[in-house]
Amino acid sequence: MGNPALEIARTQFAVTTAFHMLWPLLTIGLSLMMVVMEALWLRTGDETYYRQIRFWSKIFVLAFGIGVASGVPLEFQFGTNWSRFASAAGGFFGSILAYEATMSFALEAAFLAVYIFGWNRVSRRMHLFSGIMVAFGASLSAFWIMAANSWMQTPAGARMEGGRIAVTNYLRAVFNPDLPVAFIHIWVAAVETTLFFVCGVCAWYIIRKRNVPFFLQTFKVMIVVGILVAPLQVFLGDASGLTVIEHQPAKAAAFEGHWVTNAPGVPASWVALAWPDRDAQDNRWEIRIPYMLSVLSTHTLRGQVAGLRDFAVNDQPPVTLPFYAFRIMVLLGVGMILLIVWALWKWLRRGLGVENAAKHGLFWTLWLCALPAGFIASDCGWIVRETGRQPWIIYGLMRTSDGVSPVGAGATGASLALFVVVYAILLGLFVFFTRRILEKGPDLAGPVPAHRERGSAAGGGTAEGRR
Amino acid sequence: MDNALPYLWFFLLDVTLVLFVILDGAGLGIGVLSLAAREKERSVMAAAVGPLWYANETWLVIAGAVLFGAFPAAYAVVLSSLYVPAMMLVFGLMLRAVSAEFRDHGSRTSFWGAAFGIGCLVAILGLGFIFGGVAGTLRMENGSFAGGPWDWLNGLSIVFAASTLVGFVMLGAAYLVRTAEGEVQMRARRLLRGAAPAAFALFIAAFVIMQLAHKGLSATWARPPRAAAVSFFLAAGAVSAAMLVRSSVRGRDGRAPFAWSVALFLCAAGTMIAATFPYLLPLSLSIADAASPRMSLAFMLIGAGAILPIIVGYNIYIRRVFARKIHGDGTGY
Repeated sequence: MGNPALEIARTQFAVTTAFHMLWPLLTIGLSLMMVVMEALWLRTGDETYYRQIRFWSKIFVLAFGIGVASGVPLEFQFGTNWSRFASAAGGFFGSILAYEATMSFALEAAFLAVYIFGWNRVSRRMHLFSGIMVAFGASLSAFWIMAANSWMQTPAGARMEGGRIAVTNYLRAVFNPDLPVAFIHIWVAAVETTLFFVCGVCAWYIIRKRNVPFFLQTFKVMIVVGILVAPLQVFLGDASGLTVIEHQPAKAAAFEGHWVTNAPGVPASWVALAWPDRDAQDNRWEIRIPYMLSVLSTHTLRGQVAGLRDFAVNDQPPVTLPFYAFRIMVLLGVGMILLIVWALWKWLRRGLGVENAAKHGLFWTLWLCALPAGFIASDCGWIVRETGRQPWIIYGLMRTSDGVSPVGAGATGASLALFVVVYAILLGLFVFFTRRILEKGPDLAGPVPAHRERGSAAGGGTAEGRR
Repeated sequence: MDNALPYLWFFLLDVTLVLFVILDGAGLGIGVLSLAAREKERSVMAAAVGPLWYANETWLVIAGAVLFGAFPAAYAVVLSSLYVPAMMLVFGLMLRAVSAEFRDHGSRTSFWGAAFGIGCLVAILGLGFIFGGVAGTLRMENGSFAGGPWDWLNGLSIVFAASTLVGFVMLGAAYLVRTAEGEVQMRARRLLRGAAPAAFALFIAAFVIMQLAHKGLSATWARPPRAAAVSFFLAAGAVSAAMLVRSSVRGRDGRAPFAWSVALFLCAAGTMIAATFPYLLPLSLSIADAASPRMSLAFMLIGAGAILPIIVGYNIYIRRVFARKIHGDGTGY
């Protein structure tokens, strides 16, 4: 860790990516939500769905803009800060980024223009098609980015030849062992993150007793989605953990704070909480739960789990950061399930009717507080994933210290400082304008696009014209 | 056939870069012009750029990814050695995005309108200095950059940046003649008559300085058939500049100036490529040496290269959708 330029370059990538990834999470989820609502609108003729789309698409555009603004620098960073990685692995890694840019990003950006500005310019059917293209592009984008990233975790189909990566099997490299679970895990995380963001906004309105029917409609749609998604995410988290144990045992040992391999036949206990100390190669203090690590990691009572001391110290990842990031992610995941179960229970007991919904203050306050839960959990998961990969930039093939540019710490440090400032402005911009959009509220009275008007049973929202 | 792949990708890289400059270049140039405009004109200019600048910026992302995947050695050297200009481009584009957001939501319009213009200016200068750095002499050792953080700033790169700036402003003004009306269009016409000869003269200066900086470069192209290609593009460029000035006179067809300014830009790009081929970085890194393994290039061609015509197709469709004039509230936002 002696090279300041390396540490600054790593920090810069961590800061920019942790910030950037929040926006695709939201735009993937919102784009799917809007496609569902537009399909419902065209099927049922209930124009409240149309007004839902018009409302949420404002936030979508804002998030998309910030996503592009904060994402373009990432692509360039591979060249500016990680030139030796770029030059060694570019043939494969760069190709995948080119796949992403051409197949998905271009598609999303182009059809977004039609989707947002084309309401009166294209038919309803074409508009729905544009929405599907936006959603498809956003999700496909995540697929390719995860293909590139998971290849860095489990670099299949490639070997190092004279300082350059030589890909021997492209299909195996793209569909590397980590990709399936990693992609689905993050895609479901996008849906869940959006769900909590959207429900948080609904709670904001319901607490203020504004547009209650409108936002109860959104809330209920989201709860239905949540019942399917939240348990699925637990299953995916488990599957993702098993992949890590199989392919990156040092990472798993690090985020579990597990130092010593358990002897055969002896159950491994799970460290619930601890302060890991890499210098001492042990935990300073810890709270253990017997049997649990064996159960979690091998799905047996006494399965053997490799400890961190099995790996040379200079092959070990950092421990404290992934250890705590992992625990925060899991805790938030459990909390999110509990909230969804509560909402379901309330709904079944007829507690989500327009008249009585707003009565329960604590319930809605909790949903409001949970608005950023998905974002935080996703960032924590990403921290586990990336710090756990260290000290490798391409796991087992190329060390991070061998991938950094020969650029001085001064230039990287200055640009890092600028990034922090600009990203703070971007975040401020989002908060400022989202507040403004929320305060203005959904438009419940404006004209609906006239193309092929179906006999619509004007939705319940119009009765309540408060803006 | 395999040996043709690097050149095919070089061609596709040029196509994506040209599309970026033509499509987004006009928007960036208009942003710079808006710095000198009055409040009322600024909104006309903003409307002229329209809702398509996300779609336009895609071409830069595609060009960057193509360079990364097809010519990783060049991508690594160019971006790490031209760190500061690369950051200027990146931060300029971010500033443009942020200010567009604030301005379109009607918050402190004059402040964010100015910030929008400054973002465009910084991005163009960053791009110009990258062009200058690529055309100049980057100090390399073992395929890695071996110079200092300020190597990008020198006489040659300043001329390249100036020519890029004037060229983009010219594209922007020509685009305004095409899409705007009234006072804004008239001022754009007047501006074009000065900007076109200036852009051409600066380009010639950049070309000459580049020959002086690389001793022996002119010897590589000053023979037939490449000499013919270089002189053809130079002559066609001069004709385009002249026609551009002629067509910008008041009352003439509003579409001609943009067509001629695109032609002038294509001639400039053609001259540079004809004079430096087969190098990516003149005399120091050839297209073949910078290219990824042939397998990689073929792999990339299947997934990315084949998609490019489709992208062009739906972008043309979208342009058609927004070219139709409609009545009433057409923005829908």
